[in-house]
Amino acid sequence: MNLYRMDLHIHTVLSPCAELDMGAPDIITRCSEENIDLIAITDHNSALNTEALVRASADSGVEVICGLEVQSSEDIHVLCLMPNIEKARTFEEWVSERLPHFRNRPDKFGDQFVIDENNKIIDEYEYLLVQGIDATADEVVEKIGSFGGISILAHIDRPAYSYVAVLGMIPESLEVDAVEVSGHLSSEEALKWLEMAGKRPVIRSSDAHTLKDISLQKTTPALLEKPCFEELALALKGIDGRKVLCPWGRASPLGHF
Amino acid sequence: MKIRDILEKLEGVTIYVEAGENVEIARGFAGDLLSFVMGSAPERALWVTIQNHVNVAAVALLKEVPLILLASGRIPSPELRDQCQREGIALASIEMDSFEVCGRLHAMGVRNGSKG
Repeated sequence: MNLYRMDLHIHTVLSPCAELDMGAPDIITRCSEENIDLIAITDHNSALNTEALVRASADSGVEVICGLEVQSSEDIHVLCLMPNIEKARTFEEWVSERLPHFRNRPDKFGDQFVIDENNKIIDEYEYLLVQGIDATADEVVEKIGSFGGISILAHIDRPAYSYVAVLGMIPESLEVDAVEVSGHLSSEEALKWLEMAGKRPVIRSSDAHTLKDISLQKTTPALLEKPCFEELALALKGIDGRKVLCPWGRASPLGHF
Repeated sequence: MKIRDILEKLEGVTIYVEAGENVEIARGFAGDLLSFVMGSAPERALWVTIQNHVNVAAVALLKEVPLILLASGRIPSPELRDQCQREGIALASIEMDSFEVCGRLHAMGVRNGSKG
């Protein structure tokens, strides 16, 4: 088993709130420089730029998982990682059918560019992507499971857009695969949130909206056979020696690291 | 003021879990972000919210809420209904939005807990 570094929450120029430096080759180059092995592309409510990132990553040593950051009807953010582009696109259809038809105003909210692997603009997404879809967070988690995807409650430490902020606590019965805590927190700050996660695996990510947000310090270590979706799925369940290690080391009540 | 009297005076109410005959409330609170409600709601206050997740019952229990009033016609999830039934927390839905409901309640003399 090998130790790999993962950042499973990265935006691209498709997210209106992301900077225009978040192009396909640019993200891959930055991750490569930071020695990050496995990333997930998770734009708000859309997977339209995942193909560009997968193509741009060819022969780079950086592996890309196709995902989305879904915003629920209660404004809770849930990361959804899918086994391949096809599944991501089919899941995306389910999401976009539930997205309110409120048009984006690029001057107010920012551009929503669909790009290819060379940053050529193919399209601009018409409706504002940062809106709650017509499905609750619990329904989104269940739907991700039915697609064979990985569901992760995003940045539970944040005062907005987090499951804990909106719903107070994470029910035992919620079948979510992992919980994300913001990458910038110190060990002391993270401790409270690690306890809140209970027995669920905790990951740390950059939630990068600009290139300099991406850094090795905001990654999660994992023991995998190779960096890919299938191995990550095993690691989150702790199967066959695969394991997601606590990003905050000794601060973990689970005693990893 | 008795919960039953309050609900009787408001229009467009659907009751899901009845209040006990003589249960009274002294104050009110409105909020939808449950962490915020846990942190800042006074105890034993009537709670106006649009949040209909089962966790609402847990927060209500913590804050000894005698009545949850779901504004904007929100229908409680079956889990929330069951949990309120089990815990003896009155639960009702009302057609008006939170702003209107709070206005009516205030006019009836219900105040926020910080002012008693």
